[in-house]
Amino acid sequence: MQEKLLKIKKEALEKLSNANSKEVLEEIRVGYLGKKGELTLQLKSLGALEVEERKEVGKKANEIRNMIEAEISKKQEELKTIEIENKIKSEKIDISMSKSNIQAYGHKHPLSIVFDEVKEIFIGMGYSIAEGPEVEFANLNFDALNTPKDHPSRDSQDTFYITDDIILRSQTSPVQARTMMQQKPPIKIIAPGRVYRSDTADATHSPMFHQIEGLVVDKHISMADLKGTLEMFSKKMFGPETKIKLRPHHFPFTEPSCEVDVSCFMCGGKGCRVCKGEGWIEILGAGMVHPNVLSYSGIDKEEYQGFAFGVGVERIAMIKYGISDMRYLYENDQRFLNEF
Amino acid sequence: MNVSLNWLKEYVDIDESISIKEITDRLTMSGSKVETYEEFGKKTKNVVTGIVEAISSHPSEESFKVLTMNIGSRVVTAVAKIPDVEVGDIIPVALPGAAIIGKEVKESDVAGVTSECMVCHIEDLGLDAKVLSWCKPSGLIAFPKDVKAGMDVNDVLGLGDYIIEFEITPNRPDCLSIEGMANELALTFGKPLPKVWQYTEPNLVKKDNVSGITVTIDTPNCKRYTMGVANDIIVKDAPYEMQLKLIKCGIRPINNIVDITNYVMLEMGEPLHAFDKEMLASNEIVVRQAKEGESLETLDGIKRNLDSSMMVITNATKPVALAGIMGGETSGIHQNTKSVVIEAANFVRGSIRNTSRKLLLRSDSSGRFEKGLPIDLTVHAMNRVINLMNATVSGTISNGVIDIIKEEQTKKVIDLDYEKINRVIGTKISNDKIDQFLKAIRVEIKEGKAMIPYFREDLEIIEDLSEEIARIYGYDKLEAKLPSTELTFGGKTVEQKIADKLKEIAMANGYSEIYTYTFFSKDTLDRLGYSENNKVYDLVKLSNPLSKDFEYMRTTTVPLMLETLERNYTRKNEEVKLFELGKIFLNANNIQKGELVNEEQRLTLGAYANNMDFYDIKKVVENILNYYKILDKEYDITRIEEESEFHPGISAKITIKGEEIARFGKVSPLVIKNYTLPENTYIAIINFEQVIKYASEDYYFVEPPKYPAVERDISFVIDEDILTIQIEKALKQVEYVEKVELFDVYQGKQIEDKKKSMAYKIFLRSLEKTLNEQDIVQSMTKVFDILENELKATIRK
Repeated sequence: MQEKLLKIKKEALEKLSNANSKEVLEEIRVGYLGKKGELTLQLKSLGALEVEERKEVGKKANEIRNMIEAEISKKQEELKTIEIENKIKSEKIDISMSKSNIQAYGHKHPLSIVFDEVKEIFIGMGYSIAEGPEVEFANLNFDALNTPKDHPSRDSQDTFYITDDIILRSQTSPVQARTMMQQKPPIKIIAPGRVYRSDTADATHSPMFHQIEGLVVDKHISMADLKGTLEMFSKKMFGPETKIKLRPHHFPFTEPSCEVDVSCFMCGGKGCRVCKGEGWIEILGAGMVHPNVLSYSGIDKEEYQGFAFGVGVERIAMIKYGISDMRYLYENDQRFLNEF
Repeated sequence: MNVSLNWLKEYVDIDESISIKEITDRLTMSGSKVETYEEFGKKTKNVVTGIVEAISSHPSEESFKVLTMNIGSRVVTAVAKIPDVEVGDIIPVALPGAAIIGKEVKESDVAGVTSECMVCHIEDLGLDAKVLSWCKPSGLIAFPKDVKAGMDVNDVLGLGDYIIEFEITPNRPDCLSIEGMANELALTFGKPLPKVWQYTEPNLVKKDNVSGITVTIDTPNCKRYTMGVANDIIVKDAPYEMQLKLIKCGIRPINNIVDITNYVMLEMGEPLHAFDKEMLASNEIVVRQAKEGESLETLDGIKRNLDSSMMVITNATKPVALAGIMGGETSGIHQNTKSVVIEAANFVRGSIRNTSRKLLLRSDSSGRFEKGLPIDLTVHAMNRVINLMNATVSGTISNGVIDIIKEEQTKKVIDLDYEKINRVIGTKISNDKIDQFLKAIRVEIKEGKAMIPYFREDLEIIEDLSEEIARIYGYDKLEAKLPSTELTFGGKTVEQKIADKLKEIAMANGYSEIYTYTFFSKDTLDRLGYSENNKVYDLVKLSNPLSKDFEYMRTTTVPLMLETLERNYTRKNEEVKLFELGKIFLNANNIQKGELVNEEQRLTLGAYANNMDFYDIKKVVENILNYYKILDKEYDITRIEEESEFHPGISAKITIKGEEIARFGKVSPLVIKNYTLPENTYIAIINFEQVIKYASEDYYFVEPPKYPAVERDISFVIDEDILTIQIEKALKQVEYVEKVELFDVYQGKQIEDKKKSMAYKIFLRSLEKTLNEQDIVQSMTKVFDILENELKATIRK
């Protein structure tokens, strides 16, 4: 009896190791473990044995049964894996094809890309974003910014007037005044927005364009803070190697004033097509807020100092993306937009 | 302003080893921005001046001439092909050893005649005939007669000089002068203050009447009028050195009198004018505003019609000059002028600028006056003119000058707060150093006060001095640090975040962002076909538009969107989907009340594509509104009944409590016919202000249902005018109806006219239990009841 069992075990395991399909496997299972399977028959015949022998042989037979069952399920798993692997091998598609009926993501306008980058940088430095109306009071656009009554920027050749007192803002600076009138220092804002000047549209001009202005007012703000802030901005905007250069300049609303160049992000300052061989690109105007500007908005000029800067969004976009003509920005040709 | 570097170097000792690059870079950094610089000719050797003593023709070659020239030390001959050379011309002669066009000049044989030297063409010296007015048509330089023979041409022309173009900011009219720039050069390189006529005490005797002439100022626009007279005038060429300086600074020499006035303007920054005394035809000079209907022919030969906003110099009856801008043709200096009246005046800058702009006439003079010149400059300049008239023996100066002062020069004094200066620029510059810097800009320091020189009217407050100190100290040396303010919490407002998100969702739906003009023309608006009394015509008008194209602030974003789509369509862009978040300008009549208008933002979508339909644009609108759970609120979707640019049957608006939040749909064919656009053009307008009002980001947890839903399909035939939303709203009233899903709509054959067949999947669910058959039957009976009795549908079994 014992020998018989060992023989069954040997044969069964041998057959199992050679099994190469689900069908064969099932055949083996039925052949040994089925109702009329060899091992089942052996188990059924146990009754004829003595109690002691029956226990021993029965235990052995059950061990063999478990072993075969385990072996079968292991084999099943293996065959299943082989089957999946074969299926994977047979499945291959043209991965260069695309489906045209699924909506592609739309494109952000290059001016918005610049706006977003600048906002991100200054928000990171603790600035808020202030906004104001585009149809604006002339006194907030000019008087609040220390612009003399006979300054050329007030001329109707330069600024769009609705009435003598209401204009299309020619700069985002009125937002500075509005903020200072409403808020006590410390003030840290940027004011992005649309401005208007009486310039005929051409490759570098538009009667409507965009600026981002910055303003910081507190007790101990100096030009050193302005320089450090613009340096940080430039590095974040144009790359960590970027250097800045402040040149003396004149604006009515700042004193001292400066124009700011950044080292060319294309050539790193060696001189190239982008920087017209200069190595530097002029990108913004800045300075210490003129005390008259602080006073107009009700800030104590003895106690507080501040700095302000303004940057042209179109100019940055044109330099950064190499856009040759400003008019592309307002034509909104889908092919142009798709480039961004 | 163009400046000759050699001229500046007459005032300031700059080492020859310092390159032009370094000079211009350092000037830019100290505040005088250099736009460009250009070399004036190329330095050469062995080229001298020669006087042509004789011209003979070449024995065999007809086109050649044989020139005999005196070069001071000896006489030389040259064979040359110059048609316009004349005896007496003083010309540049290249002697053997000179290098011309890269070749060394040698004695040579020209068809049997020995040529000892070569006559230089202007280009051989690296110059352009357009620049040097001494040039004859052939390109031969004929020097002025006061140039001696045998002089080195390098010295005569100042070859290798640099012409520097400066951008002078409007606060620095003093820098629109050589003397002013010499001062800047000196302070940039730490050199001693140059001696200049601007700060030389004038030596003038003041009289009421000079050579019989009197002056009256009869306008508030003239602050000072200083006048001198010179008789026995000899009109001739100015000295060549003077002419050359004018040429290098971009002014064409005319004659000694005109050149002296221009020279003083360049040198000192005060524009002057010389009148022919006889041609004035009067002994009275009156400065006044022009009368309506008056006119004047200016020196450029153009007749100018004047009005009362324009200031003129008159001979008491007629205008003889446009004050501060240009003289009159008749009273100009002529070859036989015998006496001249010289004017050094001070005019109100706005008056000059307005006249100059009105007449589209700019001059070197108006360019300076419109910046605002100091009142006292007139006498310093008059002093210099007299000095030059005498030095050049141009005439006899009448004894004394007329000097009428309507406004005194203000003398500015600033309290010297050294600490404040350092506090503004973030430095620790010592008081001594600050004093030293102030002296470099001619500020005198008396008892802790800064006495500001008369030509620096831009210096008014301590911050102005801070800027002076900073620029002399060097902006590049300033410290760079981040502000150490109290901690501020930055970031975007809720509105700004929502704006960004709406744009993001539009992009996620395949729409690309555009930027359009916020002003437009009436024609642009008219294309939408609104009736004139519609509120879109309630427009804010610009009083000085650039053109009709930009005359009104937009009250709707749609025409700009349609024009943009049209531009794309005519460029054959097949499928276009665009959006813009932009402003419109409402309540135009606020303007009359002196108030600002309402600026509201609209998110506008516009698209055309072949297979697009109403439901595509509707889905995008729903996606946008759903992000902020706006459609979770009680809303209505209705047809647009009022006048609009939409197709009335294929458009809708969504309102909440009667307030419109969005409208969208197909553009009306009546509007499309005004554009080059396909019929399949769709737009949507989302009211940003309403989105903000109803946007919600209040999230709260609701446990997902534990019990299964039961699905039942039903179909029915119903009137075609019944909207899906009516059916859905009605069915959702029924107990256990969780949602209904439309899966088929059909109209056509087999269905009665004006009816539609619809098929819905009804989902029934309870949150408390698994529904039993009885619950389901009860609910479905109610559903059929509503459909048949309320909505008059016929259930298909």
